[in-house]
Amino acid sequence: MASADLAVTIGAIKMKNPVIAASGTFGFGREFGRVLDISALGAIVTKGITLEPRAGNPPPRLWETACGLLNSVGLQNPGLAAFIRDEAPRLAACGVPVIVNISGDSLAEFCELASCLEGVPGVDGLEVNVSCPNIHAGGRPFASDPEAVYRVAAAVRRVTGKTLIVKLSPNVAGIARTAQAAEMGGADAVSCVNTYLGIAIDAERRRPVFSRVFAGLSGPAIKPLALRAVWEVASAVRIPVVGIGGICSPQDAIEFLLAGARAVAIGTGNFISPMACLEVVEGIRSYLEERGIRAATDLVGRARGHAGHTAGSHSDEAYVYEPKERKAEDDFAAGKGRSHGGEQ
Amino acid sequence: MMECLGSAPAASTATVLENRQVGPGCYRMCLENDYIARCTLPGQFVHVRIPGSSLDPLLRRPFSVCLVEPSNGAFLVLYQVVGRGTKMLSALRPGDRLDVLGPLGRGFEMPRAGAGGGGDDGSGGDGGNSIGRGSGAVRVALVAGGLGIAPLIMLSHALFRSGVGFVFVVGARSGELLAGLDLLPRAPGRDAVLSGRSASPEPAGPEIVQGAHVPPNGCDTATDDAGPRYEVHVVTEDGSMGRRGLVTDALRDVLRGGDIACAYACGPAGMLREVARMGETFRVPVQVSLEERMACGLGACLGCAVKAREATARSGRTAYLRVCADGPVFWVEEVDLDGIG
Ligand SMILES: Cc1cc2nc3c(=O)[nH]c(=O)nc-3n(C[C@H](O)[C@H](O)[C@H](O)COP(=O)(O)OP(=O)(O)OC[C@H]3O[C@@H](n4cnc5c(N)ncnc54)[C@H](O)[C@@H]3O)c2cc1C
Ligand SMILES: Cc1cc2nc3c(=O)[nH]c(=O)nc-3n(C[C@H](O)[C@H](O)[C@H](O)COP(=O)(O)O)c2cc1C
Ligand code: FES
Repeated sequence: MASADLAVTIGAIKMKNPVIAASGTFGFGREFGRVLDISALGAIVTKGITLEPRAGNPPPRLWETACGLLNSVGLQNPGLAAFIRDEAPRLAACGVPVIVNISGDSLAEFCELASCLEGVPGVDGLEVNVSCPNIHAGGRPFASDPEAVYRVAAAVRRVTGKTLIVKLSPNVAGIARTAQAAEMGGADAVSCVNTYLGIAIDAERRRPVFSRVFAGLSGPAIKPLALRAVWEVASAVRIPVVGIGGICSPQDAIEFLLAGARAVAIGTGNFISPMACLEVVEGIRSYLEERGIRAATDLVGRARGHAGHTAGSHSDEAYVYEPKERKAEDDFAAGKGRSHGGEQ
Repeated sequence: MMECLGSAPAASTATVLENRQVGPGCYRMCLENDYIARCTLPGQFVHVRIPGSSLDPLLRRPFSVCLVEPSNGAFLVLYQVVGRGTKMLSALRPGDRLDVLGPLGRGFEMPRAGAGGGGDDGSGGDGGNSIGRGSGAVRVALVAGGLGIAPLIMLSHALFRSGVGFVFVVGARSGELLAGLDLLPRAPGRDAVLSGRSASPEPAGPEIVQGAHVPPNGCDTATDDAGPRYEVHVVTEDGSMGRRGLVTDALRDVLRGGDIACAYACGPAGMLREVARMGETFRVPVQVSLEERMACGLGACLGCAVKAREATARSGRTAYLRVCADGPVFWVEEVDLDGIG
């Protein structure tokens, strides 16, 4: 049988397979690069970068839950300048598409991050983190307001020619609305999802485990929730969706593709097996070849045909969302960022 | 800050050769994995996936490599059952296989006789960390609280091989909780409990009789010509073995002797803080091996943070180090021990 075609395209990024290492779990590639050949991955996403260095949160930063992991790392990162100086050159030589995850606490900061990264060799795309649950910069996260997500996407779109991915937060009322806002802002893709907010309490000490009380839940525990989010988002936008949440095995990844994701990212799974990304690539390959399926892209959204009418019955407002063209004009002044729209 | 000095870590499987209870809740597991046995440096650790755990418990568990036997590709882990993961580990039988990732982390810095400088990245300050200050024989102190002895056992073998004398101060709540004394290096010919079979996959001969080689006063001096002299001081909180008291009481007496060039410590946070204070008092540089909850073990996730003392002071901003990659062994100057435990 002919070998299966695993290649996928997200924006302008041509990936040799649909498997991405998720932000914050894979450092800057070199840490895991000591154990595996990262050039075999579809792409890697860096730890979230901010304009200034961030120390991160005091320990403890990790707490294991049933099939899950709560983290409160708090965006510890060396800052934009150090990233460009110390990490980007190495990343450029890795032979794998690199997506830089950026986090800002104002529109201006996102723009500055994006424009400073514009000319940096080896940076193929930006993933805009509007959802990090750990930093309380100026109140509510951007993600909780579709309008704010639209503005961030549109503003970054104006200053970057690189592939623009908006990373969605699941901790919102209607994730599909946020996804549409990102699409209208000009995002080339959305990644879905970031961690779910949770809490751990230490019964011995009778207080919360984490200094910031809330922490982000990831791992297999969130997989069904993330699948639902991907399903809803894929129904609401035309741009590609990167599915994230609890993917540990090839089977998990395939489920996300079938739900409508064009690619998948693996986070916590890397901690269980440092080779998880490669195992998933190989597993997808055999799944396709054993079934005579030509390409990974043939799987995308294939489970959706079987949804019937029931899929919408538990839906939130996303399913009754107005056609986005009209909605765009209602919600946002015409012309705002539209020229950059993620048509593809 | 340096990452680990030794070989790159590898993800592979290890076969259980032996998994034996050596005390209440305390086990010694011998594993076969040629790479780990050959490449691990004292103080490094392995990140172990509990077999059969499926996805719960989800994460790997870190354990110090306690001893290696490169000639037969075996290594030892000494562990205490404290929760679900270690409980599952204790149920493993010879022939079972488990995933190991390692060797990981920055291990102990060996004393270099006559050499100056402390922290290899210059973080040791103005020569204050110089191991083997002055001249004459270098003698170092190893300080273990409970199963903190595990990484120090491998260190003691390395010291022994390179002819560095040491004093090993070992403490636990009670005598039955003292594990690993039988794994200390023995000079050839000495009537040693473990002669010739350290880390051998199938230890022959009698099981360790607790305290068999430790005189009632808790001080044992190896007197062979074949290796450097070393002493073992045993301290228990309940006095059931060796001297009654805290490991740090015994350490204080050792440091008063004035001939200790460097101290290595592993154990509970409170003990490490006290050892660090004593190091300061007696002007003896101290390296500590720390523990923190870990996810990746590779330095990527930033989950295993410990507050950095020097870096914070230097930059005026709080900074953190990664126990898995910048440690687990640190010079006490590098880390803020008040924040651990
Ligand atoms: C570098 C390093 C080396 C270690 N070497 C050894 C060793 O040689 N022998 C040994 O017995 N133990 C060692 N530990 C500690 C060991 O990793 C934990 O005891 C183990 O992970 C507990 O797993 P569990 O599932 O049984 O317990 P859990 O159910 O996860 O937790 C039970 C208790 O253990 C504590 N704990 C959990 N994870 C850790 C951790 N990573 N570090 C410290 N405490 C933890 C928790 O606070 C809790 O009180 C080491 C830890 C590190 C970081
Ligand atoms: C330790 C840790 C750090 C993370 N850091 C970031 C980050 O800096 N930026 C970001 O957008 N997402 C971050 N994430 C979220 C992951 O990229 C991913 O969206 C989430 O963990 C869900 O996927 P998973 O279940 O496969 O881990 C982090 C997750 C973890 C576990
Ligand atoms: S455990 Fe991931 S950085 Fe240390």
